[in-house]
Amino acid sequence: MPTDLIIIGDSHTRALIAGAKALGLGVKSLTLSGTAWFEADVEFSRETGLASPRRKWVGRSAAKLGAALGHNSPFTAGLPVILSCMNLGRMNARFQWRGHGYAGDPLDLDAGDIPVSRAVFRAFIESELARPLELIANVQATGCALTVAAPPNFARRQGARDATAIFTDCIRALGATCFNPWEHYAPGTTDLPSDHAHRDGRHGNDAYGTWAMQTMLANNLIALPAPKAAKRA
Amino acid sequence: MGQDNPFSRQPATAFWRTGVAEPGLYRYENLWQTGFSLPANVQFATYGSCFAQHISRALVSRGLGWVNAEPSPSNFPADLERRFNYGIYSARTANIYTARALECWVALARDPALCDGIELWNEAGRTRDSLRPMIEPDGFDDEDECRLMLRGTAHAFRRSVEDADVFVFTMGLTEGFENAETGQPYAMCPGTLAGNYDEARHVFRNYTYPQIMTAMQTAIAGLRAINPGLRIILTVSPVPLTATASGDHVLAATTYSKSVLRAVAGDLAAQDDAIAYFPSYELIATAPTRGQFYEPNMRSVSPYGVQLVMEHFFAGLDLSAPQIKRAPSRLKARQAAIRAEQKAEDLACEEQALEAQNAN
Repeated sequence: MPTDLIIIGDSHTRALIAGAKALGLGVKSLTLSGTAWFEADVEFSRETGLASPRRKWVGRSAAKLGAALGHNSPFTAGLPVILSCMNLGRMNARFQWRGHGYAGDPLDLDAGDIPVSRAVFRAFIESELARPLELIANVQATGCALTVAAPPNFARRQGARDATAIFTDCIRALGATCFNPWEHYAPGTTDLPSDHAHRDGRHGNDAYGTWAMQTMLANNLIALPAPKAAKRA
Repeated sequence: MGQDNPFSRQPATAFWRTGVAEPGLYRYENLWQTGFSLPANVQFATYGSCFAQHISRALVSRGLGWVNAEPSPSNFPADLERRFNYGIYSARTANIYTARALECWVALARDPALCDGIELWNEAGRTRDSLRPMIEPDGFDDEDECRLMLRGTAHAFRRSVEDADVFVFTMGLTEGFENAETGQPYAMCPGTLAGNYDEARHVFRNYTYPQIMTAMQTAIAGLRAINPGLRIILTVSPVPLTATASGDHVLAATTYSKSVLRAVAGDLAAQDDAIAYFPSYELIATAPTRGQFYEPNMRSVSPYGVQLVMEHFFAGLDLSAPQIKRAPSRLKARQAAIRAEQKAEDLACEEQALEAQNAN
């Protein structure tokens, strides 16, 4: 099957890959651990697309993916790329580590919760995202048809949804396309619908992946190669 | 001559020639002592007027215990900490200039519900609380957030007092403004950096010795209600007034202000063995320095002055008491839960990632 798009990212790529395949799209993918993305160990490489100073296999894997497409880097293969690399869980752990809670969520001050204003929360998230955003900006600069997919989340907390919204704002500020699932669920939705939830309670399932891909396509967030796009239209 | 008298039994430091003139500014000895012993693992809480921020910095840089009861989130960059006023005092009170303001913060710490009575200022769709209107550069989103954040700081102030062995307070001003009806003190004159000045509602006070003494005694009683073993170190800021609303020349107003504060601090220390007075004011502002520790505006204190002050601060601490066994961190259980959650999430992510790789 010819390749229609490339999906690169963390554990959330699994659902997106399954969804793309369910829609009959040819997919090539590269999945790296969320920890590697979060620790900003993964960086942009002009040669192979991605590289890591400590994990040489990252560069090799990216180069292998590029080679399978006849290029050095997957980002120069002329195919649309979906990138999913926002590790909300790690960010949340750091945020809560010293006892902080988001002002938009219920807090127990008597129990020692330290409230954090929305402005500080935004500054925190933007700071945490600085290096992933640098990587995304570099990928965007290659001229590839990039779509950054924000992850679904389960926390039922306003903070998780607002963090995703801040991430989305940052991506769009770079001029890149971003898919934020919360913008496409019905207003008032506070948690991932149960039929979209993987049994691990932390990821979207195949149905989510299919819905996410359909939603991205329906909203022109993915620029498929012309014949495929025409067929889907 | 030569007969025994009170002066003949005094040390060299009791005489101007041997205590000040001959050693010179950089060789003062025994300028102060706490009068109480502290453990090497002593924990300080620090608050007060702007000069107080040097004390927290110096404690941290010396590796001494400084209670930060309202820290920034983990991994928050230093420039953002400064922008949002984290890490300056033991809770995010901003500068506490007057004894009345300290009294107010102690009352809030003892009963955070009182925060609901603190005046808020709404401007251009943003909300600021009148006790620390500039704590966040753009204020808060709305009144709910503003009050929540104020209550959070009141709780943090309480925790800082509970966790501290020593409460260091730098007294800054005698002048302040109060709400005419409620008596609530303001951090600054409404209408200067924030808020709108209303002559009928906002009353100027130049607190007198008895008023400041009463406010300090009330505040200290409140602090000890939270932590009965708390020791207190008082200082007076050597930073002159930016402006006075007293009608006097600002030079005379500054002298009045610092004199009254110095007298209150000295008397409190003299009356109570658990209170010490640290002479930062004297080190910077008195005649022997010839004003050399002030910047050209003759108001800001230079880093050299701050360094000298802090050297004397540490020299006067007696850290010979046995170490205190501390209770486990309040965060221990929470952090264990975060670690466990992270581990579970990492595992789930690994499984998903492996499945994704298998899909190729």
